[in-house]
Amino acid sequence: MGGPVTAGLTLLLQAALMTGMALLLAVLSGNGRARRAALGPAMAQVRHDLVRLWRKGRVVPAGASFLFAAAPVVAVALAAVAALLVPSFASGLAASPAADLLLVAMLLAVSRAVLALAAWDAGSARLVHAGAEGLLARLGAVPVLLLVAMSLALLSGGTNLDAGLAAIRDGGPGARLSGALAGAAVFAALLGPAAGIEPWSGRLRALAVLAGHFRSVAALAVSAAIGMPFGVAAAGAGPEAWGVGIACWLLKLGTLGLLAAAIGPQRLALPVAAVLAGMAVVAAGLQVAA
Amino acid sequence: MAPLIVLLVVAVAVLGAGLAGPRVPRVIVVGLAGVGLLASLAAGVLPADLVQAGLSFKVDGLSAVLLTVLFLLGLTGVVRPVLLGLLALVLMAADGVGLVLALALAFVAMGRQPASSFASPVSRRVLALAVCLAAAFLLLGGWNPAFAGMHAAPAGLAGVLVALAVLLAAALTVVSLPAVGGLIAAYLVARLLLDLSGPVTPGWWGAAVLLLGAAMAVPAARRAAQAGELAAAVMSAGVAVQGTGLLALGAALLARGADLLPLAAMAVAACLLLLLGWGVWGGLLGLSAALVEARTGSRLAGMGGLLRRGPALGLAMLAGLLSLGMVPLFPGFAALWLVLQALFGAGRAGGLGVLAVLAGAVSVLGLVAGLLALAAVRLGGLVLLGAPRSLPAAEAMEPARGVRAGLAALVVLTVLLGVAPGLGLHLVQPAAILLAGGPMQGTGWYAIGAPDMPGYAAPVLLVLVAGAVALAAWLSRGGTTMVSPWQDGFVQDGVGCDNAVAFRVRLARPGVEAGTAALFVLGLLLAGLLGWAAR
Repeated sequence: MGGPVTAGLTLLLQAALMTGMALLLAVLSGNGRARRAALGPAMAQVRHDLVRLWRKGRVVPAGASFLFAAAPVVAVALAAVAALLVPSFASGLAASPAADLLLVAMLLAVSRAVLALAAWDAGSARLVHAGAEGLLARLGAVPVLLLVAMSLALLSGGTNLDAGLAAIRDGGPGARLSGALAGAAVFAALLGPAAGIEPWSGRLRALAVLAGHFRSVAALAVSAAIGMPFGVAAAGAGPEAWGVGIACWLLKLGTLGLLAAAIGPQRLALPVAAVLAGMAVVAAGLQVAA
Repeated sequence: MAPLIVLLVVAVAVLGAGLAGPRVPRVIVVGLAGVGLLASLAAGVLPADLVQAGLSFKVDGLSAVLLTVLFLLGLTGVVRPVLLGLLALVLMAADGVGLVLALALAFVAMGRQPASSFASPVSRRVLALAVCLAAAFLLLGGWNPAFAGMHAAPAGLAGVLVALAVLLAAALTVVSLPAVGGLIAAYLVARLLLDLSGPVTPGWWGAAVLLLGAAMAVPAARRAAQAGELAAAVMSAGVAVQGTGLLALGAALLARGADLLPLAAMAVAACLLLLLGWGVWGGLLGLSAALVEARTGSRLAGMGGLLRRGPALGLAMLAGLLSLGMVPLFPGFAALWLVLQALFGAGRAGGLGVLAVLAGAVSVLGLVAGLLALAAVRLGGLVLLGAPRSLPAAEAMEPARGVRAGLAALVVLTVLLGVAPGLGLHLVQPAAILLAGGPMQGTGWYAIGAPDMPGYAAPVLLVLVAGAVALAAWLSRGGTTMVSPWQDGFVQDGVGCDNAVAFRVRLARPGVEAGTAALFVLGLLLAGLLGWAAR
């Protein structure tokens, strides 16, 4: 292992995995919505919608500033970078030193906030209110994620996800319990309302939709990394171990994605997440004290 | 004996200040003070060296950083010149007498009513401040007010009184000096509790400072997200940032109480990096807000569309708002990241009681960061985006070339501090050495964090984000179609709306702040219970 070529290859592999999973989540969430509504589109329809939006080109309301068109581009880029940083199939990859949980959480929050901000430019009061409501509804997620980061820092000495994953995997039952609670808290926090994409049309709307799916993939990957740190190839392992790691990661993310799609947005998701995160901190504190 | 005398003087002064008014003749208050003075002289506890103390001034690592912040805020008009001068004296004072005098004068200068009687609020605050700080200095240095003669930890009841006196003085400062009170409060805490109180201090001082920081930051952040006027929102946001700085100082005190000096150095550095960054981007935000208000009036509801009608001013304000929103690659995030690392690290230092307090503080910080991000989004939306909601806003022009150059310089500094936070950390290292006995470890020019763990490297993130944005922009390239604004697929008449009021009302409803405050109080109670049980 090692060397710039291997580092680049693993980075590309990670990017491909995350992008593939984002597209898969688009289909899963579309099916979940359809099932709950007892009607509507299946996989082909979701793909058709995205292709149709993409072909429509960039549509911008007259009077909007450059930010309106830039927001979906920035949102999808930030969410994709966040997803790229989260450990997936192996430890010690090229992106690992930058895989900080606080950074990932903030990139995801900004990816959502930039869409709410740009809604102001669309010229519609209702859309502004929808964006603001969405942000307000997610306000409680910030303390939850910080408590999760605190539990990670208690176990590993810092907020790096790669180091945290190793500390939870190699730690005692207390560490694994804390990790499982923290992972469950991240998963529950994900089940809040989705960001509004109504202000956009055409290709920009497709980007805003994709940004949402990248955010979901990143959050699910964080949940899997700290909640279920098994099956991840050790740092320095070869391609055989990567294969096992990729299979485990796909299984974990697929399961969590299906679960999230089946449950859908829930009003009590954030309070539950707060309780789980608090329990994770207590479990981590007990582990440190022991 | 000394603590008892101080307690007596405090009780008499507070009683006198509270009673003075139309119903209680001033002669009684003056008489009480005179009796106290005579009694002190008779007991020989007012030695000549206090009366004859010459004022001395000195600039060290701590005061240099805070003076820089003050200078930046003064340069951009956030702090008035008279106040700037007095507060500079506060920061440079090398003895207790000079500090108390300069701060009392600053209180008077900022008072809205003339300090003509004992009953005026300003007089009461000045009196209470003087009594608190005099008590703290007496307990720290005896009758010698020079800072050089202090640095001995007060023990027992004296330690309790020092902490209470400093915290009360800090709270009074926050209340009396709205824009920069937190900065001076942080200085008082750092100077008296970290510097002059010796190398070993009780850990509970940290919990008390955390409580003060939380009490300051949460209401201010909420006001920032709700204010109907731009200047009020920006000022409240600054107060919330200063409260966050106090949270970092609380972590420093907790770490030093547990004898974890490297962690204390990190917490001190985090606080000062946050305040230094705020001096730059807070000044930028304050200056751009003043320029916007001069053109459109103060009401947010009458602004809008600045990014199109005044791009230079709009972009400058955007840079300030991105820092306020703690967006990665901007200085606010780097400082927040470091403050959180300090709080997390302090959690590893103590038992479950300390952990409960810190979990409450982390929750509070999360709420404050979330509210500040909301405020940034709201201010950005109302001021920069959409259509102008008043005639002056529609005619808003760019500022003069000289002002634009000043704004550009501040934007460059903001970006520099955001991309290379290590630069800022190198500036605050002397203060960390002064307050924590050593520099913060593991600080490079571009990456920050503990030496044995991967940290936050902004340039790496910049490359990744720039690459991802370029790729997304390239993939989504193509012709742009301009159409009329739409809603639900239909063309919408009447562009623009007055969102400020509705947003404010909506924000007042959720019980998130109440819930977090309850969590914090519960944490404190739990800490007390666990501490009691451990004994």
